[in-house]
Amino acid sequence: MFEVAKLITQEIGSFRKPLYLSKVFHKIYGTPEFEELAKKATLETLSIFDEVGMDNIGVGGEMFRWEMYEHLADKLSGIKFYGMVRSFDNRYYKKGSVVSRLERSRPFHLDEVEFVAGSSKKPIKVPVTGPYTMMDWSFNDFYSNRRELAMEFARVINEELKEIQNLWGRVSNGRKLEIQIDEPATTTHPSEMDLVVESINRSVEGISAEKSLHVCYSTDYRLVYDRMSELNIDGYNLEYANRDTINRGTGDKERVGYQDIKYFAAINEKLSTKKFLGVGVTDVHTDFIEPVKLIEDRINYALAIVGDPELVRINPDCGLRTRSREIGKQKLQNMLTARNNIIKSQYQ
Amino acid sequence: MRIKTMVYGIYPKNENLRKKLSQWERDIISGKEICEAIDAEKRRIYELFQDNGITYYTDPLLNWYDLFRPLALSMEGIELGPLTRYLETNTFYRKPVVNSIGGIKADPKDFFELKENPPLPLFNPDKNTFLFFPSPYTFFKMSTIPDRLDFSKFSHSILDNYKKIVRVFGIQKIVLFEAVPYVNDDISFLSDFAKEFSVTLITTGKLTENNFNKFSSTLESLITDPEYLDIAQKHSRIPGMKFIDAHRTALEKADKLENFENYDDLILTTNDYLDFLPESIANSKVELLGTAGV
Repeated sequence: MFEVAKLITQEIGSFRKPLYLSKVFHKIYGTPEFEELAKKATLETLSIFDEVGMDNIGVGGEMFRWEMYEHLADKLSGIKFYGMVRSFDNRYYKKGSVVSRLERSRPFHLDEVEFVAGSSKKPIKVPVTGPYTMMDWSFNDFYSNRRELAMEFARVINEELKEIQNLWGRVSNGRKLEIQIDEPATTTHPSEMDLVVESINRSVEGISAEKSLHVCYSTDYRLVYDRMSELNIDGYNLEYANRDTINRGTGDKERVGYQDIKYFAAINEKLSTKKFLGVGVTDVHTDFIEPVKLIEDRINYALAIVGDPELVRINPDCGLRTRSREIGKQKLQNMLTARNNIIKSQYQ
Repeated sequence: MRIKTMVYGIYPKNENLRKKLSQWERDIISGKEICEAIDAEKRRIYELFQDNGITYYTDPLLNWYDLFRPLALSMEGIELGPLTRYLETNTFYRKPVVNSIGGIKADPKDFFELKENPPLPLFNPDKNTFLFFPSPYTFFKMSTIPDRLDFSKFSHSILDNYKKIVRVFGIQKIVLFEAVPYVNDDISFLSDFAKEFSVTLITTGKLTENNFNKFSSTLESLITDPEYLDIAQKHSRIPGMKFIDAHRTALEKADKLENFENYDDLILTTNDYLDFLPESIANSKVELLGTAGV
């Protein structure tokens, strides 16, 4: 059995790449030079995480990946890229078209997991883009419907997770395997929540790991909370700070962004095996560095609702790649200081 | 049957323009320079539409960062809210936050720098261009609106502003785009506007006769999903049908058209604006649409 700690701090996944890597990423991807630079950037990012004192170091800021959709899609036969599609403003992503049966042509994350596991003794959480999001973000020109496509993505993701599980046996050094399924699209089609549950469960079938689900910028997290008893998931790492005020205080009015944790807690209370909640306490879409005291308020508010500090984890809303490395580090630093202050004052 | 074709709304940008916009965002090139680049690209797209025999088209709106942004930034009393998912897509827009609706802040025909959106002009029309606006109904449903501002007041003020813009450009042909279905609401808010201008209304989702109970005008064109074509025929001079899927990269087959031979005139268009597709696929779909036109 692994010891469960209080208010574990964790990254969600990505961290801004150093310029020396981002500038040449696509040009050198897959070459020995890429591997060298990705490893260098990972070590530098791990050292930032070490310096601020993160408990869980993720995979060192996802330096081996450009973007969560493209990274997987690029390694699947059956997907064709016709060009870029707008995400917002002048930001674009490569949206693939599924034109034939999906097959994994290369592993998605094995090299990254192996390298990070060998570079640190700290707990690692491996983020993997989930099947529902992969389906929702692809053009479907082959499968007969969205369900069929989502389940096919679930099948290939499951193959990858099984390989990570096998690898983990050799590199874990006594650590438990932690997998985070990234599903930002989870609640975008409320009528498809059955498919969300079915495809996620299929993707983690036969995987003995601590499994978490990351969702962000949802208009209604209750759709997820309502399905917690059916999802084969141990915890939920969610975005809240983006929808909160920056006013100090632990009242409902100040912590408006965290209101629906009450709904989570009410459902969690009824479950025989309790789920943990990773609470987003810093907004990744603004350079505003949340003061330590504000973050303490946010943590204390969530803690007062959930009750058990072993069921509350502390994280940024989402990947910090949207901010500069300096800003990202400061945000994490304040997050850690706030957590440590609470541990000192309430649990020591 | 005479088949006409229409391309409307935001068109995808090519790589060159995306790079230029990125330079403009980083202050490497000026607002004037990005305006010139956008105008040149719009002219190229007009040629693409014409070369493919597209009958009707709107400005490709290459300087609109989303469906509402330059309009919201041009009107007194509206601010930009948070990035919000655009319906069930993976594209995001800044949700307008409406405090009140005042007048137009800038001449929409002139160069004018906006925060968080490429500069005006709102449109760079050619002689055939229709002006494009989100319908007030969609604007209302997809914005944050204070309780004191009901839909009637909102739509009246928005349409007043649209009229001002239309007059500045001196173009009477207008496309109003609905991104959300009417459900049980009626479209009487458009009665006066449709009397004054030649309005093509592009609807989304289910339509019933109830939506038209209080509507006291006739639209130039009503564009619907295929199953509501009878309603479109009844309430507009030229019915229109959504034929091209703007959310799939696979190209449609023209033989689907055989079912619609009973209509004298018919406009074929897309089921959404084409900005959800890669540019190369949008170009292919325009070409395909052009071949369907007779």
